[in-house]
Amino acid sequence: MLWYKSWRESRVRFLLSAALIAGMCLMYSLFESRLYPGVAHETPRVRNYIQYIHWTVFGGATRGILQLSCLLLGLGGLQRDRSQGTLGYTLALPVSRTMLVLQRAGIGLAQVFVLSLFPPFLVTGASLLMHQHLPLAYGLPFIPLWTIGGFTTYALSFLCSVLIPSEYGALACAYVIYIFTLAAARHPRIAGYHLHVADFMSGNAPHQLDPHTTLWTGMYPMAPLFGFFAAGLFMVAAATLVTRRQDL
Amino acid sequence: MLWYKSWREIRVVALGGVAAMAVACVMIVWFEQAMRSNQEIPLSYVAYLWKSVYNSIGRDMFLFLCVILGGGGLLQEKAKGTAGFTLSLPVSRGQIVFWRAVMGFVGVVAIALTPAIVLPLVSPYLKEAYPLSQALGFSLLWMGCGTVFYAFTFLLAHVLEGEYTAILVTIPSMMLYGVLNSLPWFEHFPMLNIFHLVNGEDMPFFDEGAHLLSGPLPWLPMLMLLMIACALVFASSRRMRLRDF
Repeated sequence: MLWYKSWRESRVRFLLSAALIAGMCLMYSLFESRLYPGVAHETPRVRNYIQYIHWTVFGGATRGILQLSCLLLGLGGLQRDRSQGTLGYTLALPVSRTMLVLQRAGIGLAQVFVLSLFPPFLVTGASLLMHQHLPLAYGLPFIPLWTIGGFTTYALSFLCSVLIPSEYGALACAYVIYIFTLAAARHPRIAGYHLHVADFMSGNAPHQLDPHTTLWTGMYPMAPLFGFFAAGLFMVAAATLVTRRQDL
Repeated sequence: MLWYKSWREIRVVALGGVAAMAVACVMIVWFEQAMRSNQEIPLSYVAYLWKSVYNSIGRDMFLFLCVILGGGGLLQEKAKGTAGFTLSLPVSRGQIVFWRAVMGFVGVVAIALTPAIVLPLVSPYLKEAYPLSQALGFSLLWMGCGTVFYAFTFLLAHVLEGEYTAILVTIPSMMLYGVLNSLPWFEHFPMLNIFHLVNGEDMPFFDEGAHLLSGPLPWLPMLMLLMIACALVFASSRRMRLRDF
């Protein structure tokens, strides 16, 4: 039942995130006729519907909301239990701290996966309603990218929530580190390694999407996929190790 | 001592925010040659700082920190089980909300002023210069605009009970506001676009070529933003007065 405890703790954030992502997907698809001119005016590279959807959903604001949701979903855990005075009950459960942490991480990964499922199906469906053509095959490859990239962002916040007692402090710290890593990934010496998680999630890493057409080239980024997943797992493992020895 | 209680609540975010902003500014200045040489179009030092600090990382970080600063309050204390202690203090609920708002605003001001202190101080080490007057001007713009986002989150935190809900609602609200700004009607009122006002983009008081503030600052819109922020805090206070804990 540990998963149920984790679910109860994070369900409001998850449901709100799901509603936001779904709402944004629907807004950009259903109100395309009103929003497209403004987007195309400000972004010269947006010249057709697929590029518009990529700019607003798969590689734009909606992706940003998913990452923000991941940062918020990663918060909580034993530090939060301590501040709410429920730590004693949680630690009295007949399970190890490792199980508590891993169960929470597992639920988080599942939540990120579910959030990643929304855009391909919703946008494709809404596009059909608006007589626009967006193949489902275009959105599906983004699911693993969003899940793994989202999990990496989640794991960063997860680790901060273990290390920093203040809840809002943990969120601020996670966000600042996230912004710093994005900025560092743009540095010319590091840029060649393609460590920009937002670019990875948007399919903008080399040889994924054609930069001119924004269509898939046929090559899928397996190495970055494993790399970002390993980074996420490493942060969860670090959080587990810290929690096991933490004096709460 | 209410101010001290509020300070204790926000100090991690406020001090952490100031430190993070200072580090970001130092890093941006430190790596300026590498980053500028990587640009497709050559950038002057002043333009590079504007793009990096006032139009990118610095601004995003500042606005998000403003939102986080606004996230606390009595409803969040209720979730933690400490609202009873706070409410039993011999002060009115209005005073509790007021001091929480004031200290949060102090945090916003401190973070907004950080680039104004760091950029002119660090630039000479790399044989560059950034005018203090420019940095102060942008900090004032940050303060004016950041206060509204802070106060909006503050109001939501006093209306919505779930943890982090206020933050999770504020961010998409900001994005929706950004989308609305792209509608043709809003183009007639450029001062209504806080995202442009915050760094001068497309504004008459900003020289797009030199990336410098060239005219008098928009005092009237800034005053209006401050009044909106005060109204939002007042609404939060009213909300708390009638709230059954």
